[in-house]
Amino acid sequence: MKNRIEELRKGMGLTQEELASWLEVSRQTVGSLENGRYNPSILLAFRIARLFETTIEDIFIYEGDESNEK
Amino acid sequence: MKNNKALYFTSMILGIAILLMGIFVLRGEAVKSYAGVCTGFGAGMAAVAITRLVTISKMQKDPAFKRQVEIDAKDERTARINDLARSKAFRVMEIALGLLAITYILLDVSLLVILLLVGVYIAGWAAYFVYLGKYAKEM
Repeated sequence: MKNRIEELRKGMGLTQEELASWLEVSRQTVGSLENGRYNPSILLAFRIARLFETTIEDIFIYEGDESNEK
Repeated sequence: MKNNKALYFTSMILGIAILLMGIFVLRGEAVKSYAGVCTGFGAGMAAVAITRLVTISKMQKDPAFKRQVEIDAKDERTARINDLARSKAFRVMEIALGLLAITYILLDVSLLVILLLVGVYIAGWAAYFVYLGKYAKEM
Protein backbone atom coordinates (compact mmCIF):
# COMPACT_ATOMS: atom_id res chain seq x y z
CA MET A 1 0.00 0.00 0.00
CA LYS A 2 1.36 3.40 -0.96
CA ASN A 3 1.56 6.02 1.74
CA ARG A 4 2.81 9.53 2.54
CA ILE A 5 4.81 8.65 5.65
CA GLU A 6 8.21 9.63 4.21
CA GLU A 7 6.83 12.94 2.92
CA LEU A 8 5.14 13.75 6.25
CA ARG A 9 8.20 12.65 8.26
CA LYS A 10 10.51 14.88 6.21
CA GLY A 11 7.98 17.69 6.51
CA MET A 12 8.32 17.47 10.28
CA GLY A 13 12.11 17.30 10.01
CA LEU A 14 12.32 13.86 11.61
CA THR A 15 14.79 11.10 10.85
CA GLN A 16 13.61 7.49 10.49
CA GLU A 17 15.15 6.75 13.91
CA GLU A 18 13.26 9.62 15.53
CA LEU A 19 9.96 8.59 13.95
CA ALA A 20 10.58 4.99 15.02
CA SER A 21 11.21 6.16 18.57
CA TRP A 22 7.98 8.22 18.59
CA LEU A 23 5.95 5.29 17.25
CA GLU A 24 7.77 2.75 19.47
CA VAL A 25 8.68 0.54 16.51
CA SER A 26 12.05 -0.42 15.04
CA ARG A 27 13.77 1.78 12.44
CA GLN A 28 13.48 -1.13 9.99
CA THR A 29 9.69 -1.03 10.42
CA VAL A 30 9.63 2.67 9.51
CA GLY A 31 11.78 1.91 6.44
CA SER A 32 9.46 -0.92 5.36
CA LEU A 33 6.39 1.26 5.91
CA GLU A 34 7.85 4.09 3.83
CA ASN A 35 8.77 1.70 1.00
CA GLY A 36 5.28 0.20 1.06
CA ARG A 37 6.70 -3.27 1.77
CA TYR A 38 4.78 -3.56 5.05
CA ASN A 39 1.21 -2.54 5.82
CA PRO A 40 0.75 -1.53 9.47
CA SER A 41 -1.88 -2.84 11.86
CA ILE A 42 -4.86 -0.57 12.38
CA LEU A 43 -3.45 0.43 15.80
CA LEU A 44 -0.11 1.50 14.35
CA ALA A 45 -1.92 3.29 11.51
CA PHE A 46 -3.87 5.29 14.13
CA ARG A 47 -0.66 6.11 16.02
CA ILE A 48 0.94 7.33 12.78
CA ALA A 49 -2.13 9.41 11.92
CA ARG A 50 -2.23 10.96 15.40
CA LEU A 51 1.47 11.78 15.30
CA PHE A 52 1.08 13.61 11.99
CA GLU A 53 -2.22 15.14 13.17
CA THR A 54 -4.17 13.87 10.20
CA THR A 55 -6.39 10.92 9.21
CA ILE A 56 -5.44 7.39 8.17
CA GLU A 57 -7.05 7.98 4.74
CA ASP A 58 -4.83 11.02 4.26
CA ILE A 59 -1.68 8.94 4.84
CA PHE A 60 -2.44 5.56 3.30
CA ILE A 61 -3.57 5.19 -0.30
CA TYR A 62 -5.68 2.07 -0.79
CA GLU A 63 -5.36 0.74 -4.34
CA GLY A 64 -7.43 -2.42 -4.31
CA ASP A 65 -6.65 -5.98 -3.24
CA GLU A 66 -3.44 -5.91 -1.20
CA SER A 67 -1.97 -8.11 1.49
CA ASN A 68 1.12 -8.54 3.69
CA GLU A 69 1.11 -12.28 2.95
CA LYS A 70 4.19 -13.64 1.17
CA MET B 1 12.50 -9.40 28.16
CA LYS B 2 11.52 -9.81 31.80
CA ASN B 3 14.07 -8.56 34.28
CA ASN B 4 14.21 -11.83 36.21
CA LYS B 5 17.85 -11.98 37.26
CA ALA B 6 17.31 -14.59 39.99
CA LEU B 7 15.65 -17.02 37.57
CA TYR B 8 18.39 -16.65 34.95
CA PHE B 9 21.12 -16.89 37.60
CA THR B 10 19.59 -20.14 38.94
CA SER B 11 19.22 -21.36 35.36
CA MET B 12 22.91 -20.60 34.69
CA ILE B 13 24.09 -22.46 37.82
CA LEU B 14 21.83 -25.43 37.01
CA GLY B 15 23.02 -25.46 33.38
CA ILE B 16 26.69 -25.43 34.44
CA ALA B 17 26.01 -28.20 37.00
CA ILE B 18 24.32 -30.39 34.34
CA LEU B 19 27.17 -29.67 31.91
CA LEU B 20 29.83 -30.63 34.50
CA MET B 21 27.86 -33.76 35.40
CA GLY B 22 27.83 -34.73 31.72
CA ILE B 23 31.60 -34.20 31.42
CA PHE B 24 32.97 -35.45 34.76
CA VAL B 25 30.36 -37.61 36.52
CA LEU B 26 28.70 -39.64 33.77
CA ARG B 27 31.69 -41.54 32.46
CA GLY B 28 31.96 -44.90 30.74
CA GLU B 29 30.30 -46.62 27.80
CA ALA B 30 27.11 -47.53 29.69
CA VAL B 31 26.12 -43.89 30.28
CA LYS B 32 27.72 -42.35 27.19
CA SER B 33 24.40 -41.27 25.64
CA TYR B 34 23.20 -39.72 28.94
CA ALA B 35 26.51 -37.83 29.21
CA GLY B 36 26.01 -36.44 25.70
CA VAL B 37 22.47 -35.29 26.47
CA CYS B 38 23.59 -33.66 29.75
CA THR B 39 26.55 -31.91 28.11
CA GLY B 40 24.45 -30.50 25.27
CA PHE B 41 21.46 -29.56 27.40
CA GLY B 42 23.60 -28.05 30.19
CA ALA B 43 25.72 -26.01 27.76
CA GLY B 44 22.63 -24.70 25.99
CA MET B 45 20.85 -23.82 29.22
CA ALA B 46 23.91 -22.02 30.64
CA ALA B 47 24.54 -20.14 27.37
CA VAL B 48 20.95 -18.84 27.15
CA ALA B 49 21.00 -17.81 30.84
CA ILE B 50 24.37 -16.01 30.50
CA THR B 51 23.17 -14.17 27.36
CA ARG B 52 20.02 -13.02 29.20
CA LEU B 53 22.03 -11.94 32.26
CA VAL B 54 24.45 -9.92 30.11
CA THR B 55 21.51 -8.27 28.29
CA ILE B 56 19.73 -7.43 31.58
CA SER B 57 22.96 -5.99 33.01
CA LYS B 58 23.45 -3.82 29.89
CA MET B 59 19.80 -2.72 30.05
CA GLN B 60 20.25 -1.58 33.65
CA LYS B 61 23.34 0.47 32.77
CA ASP B 62 22.09 1.90 29.48
CA PRO B 63 18.46 3.24 29.40
CA ALA B 64 18.64 3.84 25.61
CA PHE B 65 19.61 0.20 25.04
CA LYS B 66 16.79 -0.88 27.40
CA ARG B 67 14.26 1.16 25.42
CA GLN B 68 15.55 -0.28 22.13
CA VAL B 69 15.32 -3.87 23.44
CA GLU B 70 11.76 -3.21 24.64
CA ILE B 71 10.78 -1.64 21.30
CA ASP B 72 12.33 -4.54 19.35
CA ALA B 73 10.50 -7.05 21.57
CA LYS B 74 7.07 -5.58 20.81
CA ASP B 75 7.71 -4.34 17.25
CA GLU B 76 4.70 -5.54 15.24
CA ARG B 77 6.64 -6.10 11.99
CA THR B 78 9.21 -8.27 13.77
CA ALA B 79 6.41 -10.23 15.45
CA ARG B 80 4.70 -10.71 12.09
CA ILE B 81 7.93 -11.84 10.42
CA ASN B 82 8.48 -14.34 13.26
CA ASP B 83 4.92 -15.66 12.92
CA LEU B 84 5.24 -16.04 9.14
CA ALA B 85 8.63 -17.77 9.44
CA ARG B 86 7.24 -20.17 12.08
CA SER B 87 4.22 -20.86 9.91
CA LYS B 88 6.43 -21.75 6.92
CA ALA B 89 8.74 -23.80 9.15
CA PHE B 90 5.73 -25.80 10.41
CA ARG B 91 4.87 -26.69 6.80
CA VAL B 92 8.47 -27.74 6.11
CA MET B 93 8.58 -29.82 9.33
CA GLU B 94 5.31 -31.47 8.37
CA ILE B 95 6.80 -32.66 5.05
CA ALA B 96 10.16 -33.56 6.63
CA LEU B 97 8.51 -35.67 9.36
CA GLY B 98 6.36 -37.43 6.76
CA LEU B 99 9.40 -38.23 4.61
CA LEU B 100 11.32 -39.38 7.70
CA ALA B 101 8.49 -41.73 8.69
CA ILE B 102 8.46 -43.25 5.17
CA THR B 103 12.28 -43.59 5.24
CA TYR B 104 12.13 -45.32 8.64
CA ILE B 105 9.51 -47.76 7.33
CA LEU B 106 11.61 -48.52 4.22
CA LEU B 107 14.73 -48.98 6.39
CA ASP B 108 12.78 -51.41 8.56
CA VAL B 109 13.47 -49.39 11.72
CA SER B 110 11.84 -50.69 14.92
CA LEU B 111 8.09 -50.17 15.22
CA LEU B 112 8.52 -48.23 18.50
CA VAL B 113 10.68 -45.57 16.80
CA ILE B 114 8.18 -45.25 13.92
CA LEU B 115 5.26 -44.97 16.33
CA LEU B 116 7.10 -42.31 18.36
CA LEU B 117 7.71 -40.32 15.18
CA VAL B 118 4.08 -40.66 14.09
CA GLY B 119 3.09 -39.60 17.65
CA VAL B 120 5.15 -36.41 17.30
CA TYR B 121 3.57 -35.76 13.88
CA ILE B 122 0.05 -36.23 15.27
CA ALA B 123 0.88 -34.10 18.36
CA GLY B 124 1.96 -31.25 16.07
CA TRP B 125 -1.32 -31.39 14.16
CA ALA B 126 -3.32 -31.74 17.40
CA ALA B 127 -1.67 -28.56 18.72
CA TYR B 128 -2.52 -26.86 15.42
CA PHE B 129 -6.22 -27.73 15.71
CA VAL B 130 -6.33 -26.75 19.41
CA TYR B 131 -4.94 -23.29 18.63
CA LEU B 132 -7.12 -23.00 15.52
CA GLY B 133 -10.19 -23.48 17.73
CA LYS B 134 -8.84 -21.18 20.45
CA TYR B 135 -8.10 -18.27 18.11
CA ALA B 136 -11.32 -18.79 16.12
CA LYS B 137 -13.24 -18.25 19.39
CA GLU B 138 -11.13 -15.24 20.39
CA MET B 139 -11.26 -13.40 17.06
